[in-house]
Formats: sequence, C-alpha cells, structure tokens
Amino acid sequence: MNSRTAVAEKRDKAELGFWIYLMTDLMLFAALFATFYILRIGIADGPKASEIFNIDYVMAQTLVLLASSVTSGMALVSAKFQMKKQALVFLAATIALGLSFLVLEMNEFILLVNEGHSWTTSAFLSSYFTLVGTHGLHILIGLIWAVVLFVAIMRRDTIGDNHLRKLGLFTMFWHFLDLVWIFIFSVVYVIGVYA
Amino acid sequence: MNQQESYNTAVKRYIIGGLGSVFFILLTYMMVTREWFANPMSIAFFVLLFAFMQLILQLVTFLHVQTETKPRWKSIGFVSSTIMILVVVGGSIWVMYNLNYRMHTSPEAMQEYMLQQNKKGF
Repeated sequence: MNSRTAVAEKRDKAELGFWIYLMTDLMLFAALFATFYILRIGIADGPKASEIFNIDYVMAQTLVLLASSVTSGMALVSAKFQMKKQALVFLAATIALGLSFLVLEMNEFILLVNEGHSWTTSAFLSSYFTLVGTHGLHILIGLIWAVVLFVAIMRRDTIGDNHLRKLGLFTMFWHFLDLVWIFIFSVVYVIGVYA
Repeated sequence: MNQQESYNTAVKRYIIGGLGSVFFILLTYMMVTREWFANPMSIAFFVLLFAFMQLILQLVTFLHVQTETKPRWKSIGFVSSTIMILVVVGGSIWVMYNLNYRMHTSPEAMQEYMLQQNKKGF
C-alpha cells in the first residue's frame, strides 16, 4: 500500500511538471498564432491562402492526427490494465499515423516550395511556415519519443511503473499536439481560406 | 489518475472524445464547403466556436481535467495560461488593428504602398 502511494505520488508530480511544460509550450504557440493572424494579410506579390491550401488535404491530415491521438490514449489504457500486446499494437498505430501525418505535412511544404511559394515569398508565408513547421517539429520529437517507449516496453515482460508513467506523459504530449493542430486547422486553413 | 476506473469506462471516454471531435471537424468542413454562411464574420465565429468545443471535449475526455483531485493545480495552471494567452493574442491583434486604423490606410492601400517601396529597392 505504501509503495503504491509512493508510485502514485511520483506519477502525479511528474504529470504536474509536464503539464506546466505544456502550458509554456502553449504560450509559444499562442505567440506564433498571434504573429500569423497579424501577418496573414501581408501577402506581398505572393499567393493568397485560398490559392495554395486545399481543404480536403488538410481534412485528411486532421483526421489522421486525431486518430493517432485516440490510439495513443488507448495504448495508455491498455498499459494501465497490463495488456502489453494490445498496448504495443496501439502504440505502433500511433507511430504509424503520426508518421503519415508528418509525411503529408512535409509533402505539402515541398510542393509549396517547388511552386515557388517558399517562406521568403511573403510575411504570410513566413508566419505560416513558422507556425506549422514548429508544430511539425513537435510531432517529429513526439515520434522519436514514441519509438523509444515502444522498444523499452517491448523488451520487458510486464509494464513497469516507470514505463507506465512515461507512457502517460507521452500521451499528454500527443493529445496536446492534436489540440494545437485543431486550432491550426481552424485558424490557418479554414478561416484563412474562407473568412 | 484513477485506478478504480474500469477498463470499459476508460475506453468509452476515448471513443466519445474521438467521435465528438470527428463530428465537430465534419461540421466545420460541411459548413465551409456547402457554404452555409456567406458572411466571413459568421464563418470565423462558428469555426472558432467548434474549435473551442473540441478543446473542452478533449480536455475532459483525453486529458482528464475534470477528474483531478483538489488542489486542482492542472486546472489552475491552464486557466492562468489561458488568461496570459488572451492578453498576448488579443492584445497583439488589438494593437495592430489600431495601428492600421490610426495610419488611415486600409490593408489593401498599405499593401500597394509596400509593393511600391519594395520596387524602389533598399
């Protein structure tokens, strides 16, 4: 009982600390959102948002990332109930979906740059690449973290308290990134194109 | 979080959160592609409304904010960051809007001016 509460206490502390990190990260994204919102009219002689963004493509990205957010949560639940195989399957699905999201995003960036609409074209595109690129960088770091966790969990017979705690933190990070993407989808792509 | 929570309840939360988010995403998508509104302001309003609905839904179902025990440090941290974000984002947009207004140029006129200056070179 005593060690159980000690474990719970350690987990709660780690979660609170990580939560505070997420809040500071939120400030970073808030600043980038403000920058984007102000600079989005500064298109110079570059393209408008409605000329370069395709809503169907972004919808696919959004749904893929949402699915990976749900599977990461499912991996955590499975791990809590010591279903190791199921946890690994869900974690692998999270990695696969996250990777597809990143590939879709990089593909969009490469297409834009190849069409001559790079970050040097206008203030709008600079702020767009900075905001979406920062999110993509977070996704990349999250993917590396998930792969490390996957290998660590795979190598043990049972899921220990440390791995469970780390998986919990990763899941928080991943849900947070999905929430940030919801706002990128709404503000950059939907409002940017239609409003 | 809570060990007492059964497996089924935990899974149900994620399913509700996932399906709810898909619902709001599709609603946003249909709203702009089927052109339910012509006025850009109402489009922006509803898009942001749906985004905030998803924020609340995911905070509850994915990040378990409401099951937190007292003292609710996570919620306090979230609320204080939200206030700071409102100041940063709202303040920046306000300042820049005011700047545009006081310079008596529309964004389009400013655009034209910037392009002319650009052609002159530095």
